[in-house]
Amino acid sequence: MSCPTNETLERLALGFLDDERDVRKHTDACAECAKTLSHMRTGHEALTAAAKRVKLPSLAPRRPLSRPHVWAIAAGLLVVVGLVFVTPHHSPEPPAPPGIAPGTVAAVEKDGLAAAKGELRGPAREVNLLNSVDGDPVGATLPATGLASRNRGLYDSTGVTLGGKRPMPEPKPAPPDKPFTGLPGDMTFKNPGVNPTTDTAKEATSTFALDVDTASYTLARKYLREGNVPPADAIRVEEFVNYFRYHDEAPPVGTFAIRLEAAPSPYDESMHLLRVGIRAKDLKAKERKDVVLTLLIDVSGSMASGGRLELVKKSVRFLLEKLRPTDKIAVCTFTTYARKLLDATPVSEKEKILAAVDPLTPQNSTNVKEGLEVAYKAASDAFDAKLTNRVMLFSDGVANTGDTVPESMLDAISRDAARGIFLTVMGVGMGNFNDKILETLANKGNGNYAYIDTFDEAKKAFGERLLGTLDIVAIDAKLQAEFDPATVATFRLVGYENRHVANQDFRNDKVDAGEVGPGHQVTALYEIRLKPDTKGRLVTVRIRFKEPGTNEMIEDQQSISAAQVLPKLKDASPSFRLASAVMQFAEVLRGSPRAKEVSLERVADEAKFAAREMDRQADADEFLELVKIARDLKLGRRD
Amino acid sequence: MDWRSVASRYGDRVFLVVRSILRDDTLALDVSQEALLKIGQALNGHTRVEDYESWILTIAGNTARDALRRQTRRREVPIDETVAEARVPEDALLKGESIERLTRTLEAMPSASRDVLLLKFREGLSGPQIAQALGISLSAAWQQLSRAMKLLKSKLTEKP
Repeated sequence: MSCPTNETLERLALGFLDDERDVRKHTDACAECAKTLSHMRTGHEALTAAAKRVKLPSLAPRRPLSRPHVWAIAAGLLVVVGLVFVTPHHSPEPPAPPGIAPGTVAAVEKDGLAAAKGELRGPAREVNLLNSVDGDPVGATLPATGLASRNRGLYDSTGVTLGGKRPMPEPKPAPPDKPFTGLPGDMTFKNPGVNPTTDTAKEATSTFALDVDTASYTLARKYLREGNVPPADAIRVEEFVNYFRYHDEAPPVGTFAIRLEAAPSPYDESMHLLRVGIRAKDLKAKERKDVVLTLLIDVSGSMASGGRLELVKKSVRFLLEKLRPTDKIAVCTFTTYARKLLDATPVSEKEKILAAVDPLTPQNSTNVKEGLEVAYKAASDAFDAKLTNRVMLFSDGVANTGDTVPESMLDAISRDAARGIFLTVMGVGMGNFNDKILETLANKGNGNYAYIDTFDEAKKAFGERLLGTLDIVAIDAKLQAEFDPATVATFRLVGYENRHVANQDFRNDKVDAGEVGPGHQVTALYEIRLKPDTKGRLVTVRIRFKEPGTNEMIEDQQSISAAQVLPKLKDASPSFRLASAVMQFAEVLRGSPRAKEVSLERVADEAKFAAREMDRQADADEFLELVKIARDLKLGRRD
Repeated sequence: MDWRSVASRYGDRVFLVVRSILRDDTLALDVSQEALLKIGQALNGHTRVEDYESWILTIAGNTARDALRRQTRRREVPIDETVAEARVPEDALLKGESIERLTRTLEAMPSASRDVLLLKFREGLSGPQIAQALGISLSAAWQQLSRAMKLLKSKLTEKP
């Protein structure tokens, strides 16, 4: 077969080919085409980043309306609009939807959607059609290969029942007897946004799940180094702050040390910043249990771009050097389908493991769902309750399908997590459209999520941070800060927007929260307004978690009083000032309303002094480099 | 999955599907609300939905087409400007641009072209999903997308 046209290649890259097998067979073997495809994908990634930044009008929540009102208003509106658009060249008949005659059932794109998503297979699917509001039947263009049946009822017909060889468990819609109350009043169609400032007279407590992930920082670094502004959605302040190491000492006894420090806020001197520094106990390398690690490697086509798969292979080779001969590794891969390549094999038989990993080449599309199923099955087969059991996913995310890991899959992962199979997600490659799903997976799988963009980053994850990556000292760890309304007027938790836990669930041990590994540090920052001339306790910070092994719930706490508040920001510890600088940088990148007046030049200075005092020159250099790029991209206030 | 997470996760794409069919911002906002109400209503019943994504896209597309059909007179849908082939090698164009300029260019595009690009690149829909939502064949959906990409590229070659 001669090389396909560029248009065909682009159709392939964007998933618009009816049958991609022949073209795929060619491009898998043809270096020239693979190169063209990889060029196209880079363009598509840029377009994705730009498309994510396009502002859409927010669908403002509407009061609940009774049904007849809705239709009256909708119909009225349409009449008005219809009149507005009257033109002399109209056709007499209202247009039928393209491709569908009213009253007929269209079975289009045989298996198209299902194949693209790689989720639903099986020949026969029943489709109940949606009826239009005024009772006219409307053809639903669902991908159905079986016969479709129509239901004429109003409202009870919006359901789609898909039966097949592998039925998925039924999701749980709201209970049927509860009246539908329209759009929830606080609903927006945007990302978690920025935590609001809370008045302690109304609510004095704040609770969230600990998060030791750092992927957001590494991902933003890659964007900046390539000269692009990272998408605001991709910035999670806590992951920026937690990327850096602080001078918080390990606890002399117990699992966690909690350190509290407060000084004037860098945003506004009349306010204060409270730093909560959590440090988990260390574990000596020899104290760690052997690990059974199931590697799940994404070998889909997109892994070819930017040498992602090669980076994964190199990282796995490095990881093998760092593991013990008695640790075990299983290897699974996935593209359109998933395969187990190697049963759990001791690291002493390294050649066998490398023989499975080395020949991997990127191909076809991404079916992360099936990949996870196969990997968790392999991890279950090799499960040993006396050891650490972990699945490690290497992926650039889910190409073309957005956030489509079904809820049933996430539930299954949560169940395996509860049995003691943990998940590590290693993000590789560019594009935050995959970031969200990888983060969700890590959270559900009691796991951690890191992003490796370079071999140096992989060396950090598997070298100095290996123990923290593999082992765990606290499960479902939650933090609760209880402010005293007599001394603190308002508070705002900076970051952790998507780690929120309801206050009353702090002691509900069924609630899934964060996992913390040995030596991990977690920093939380609160911006608080003190009441004038205040004395006494400001806040009590509690941490609650399950101890692995004993499964016992443990709670610790620490308080800080007004007398301990430092008068000047420059009196604060280097750890405090570095965290404050990193926070401001992240807030500028995510466009937080609090950070409008932040000068990045000042942030750079603060970070420089703090990092020097802490003897972390390398971190300081990197941070300053990124701040400089951000300034060149015209972020932050101009001085 | 409860109704709230469905709405916050899929609100944007419901809106984009609706707007790409209606090509009118204000009307699209209203019809999107209508579609979301229907989705909420269905979730409240005994509905078994095993593939939320295609189900929601279908409802969005159908609601929009209903709205279009119920108009007594046919609306002239403006045809996007004709596209001159970009003379610069394709990938170099998208690759070399700053994300900021790409975003601005996208925002300035005529709505039909812009929305199909957003469905693909922002919402990450697959080809068959776009075809399904817009109620057209896969090759017609490709025509729309490829025309939109050509238009985008030709706009990028214009002076900023």
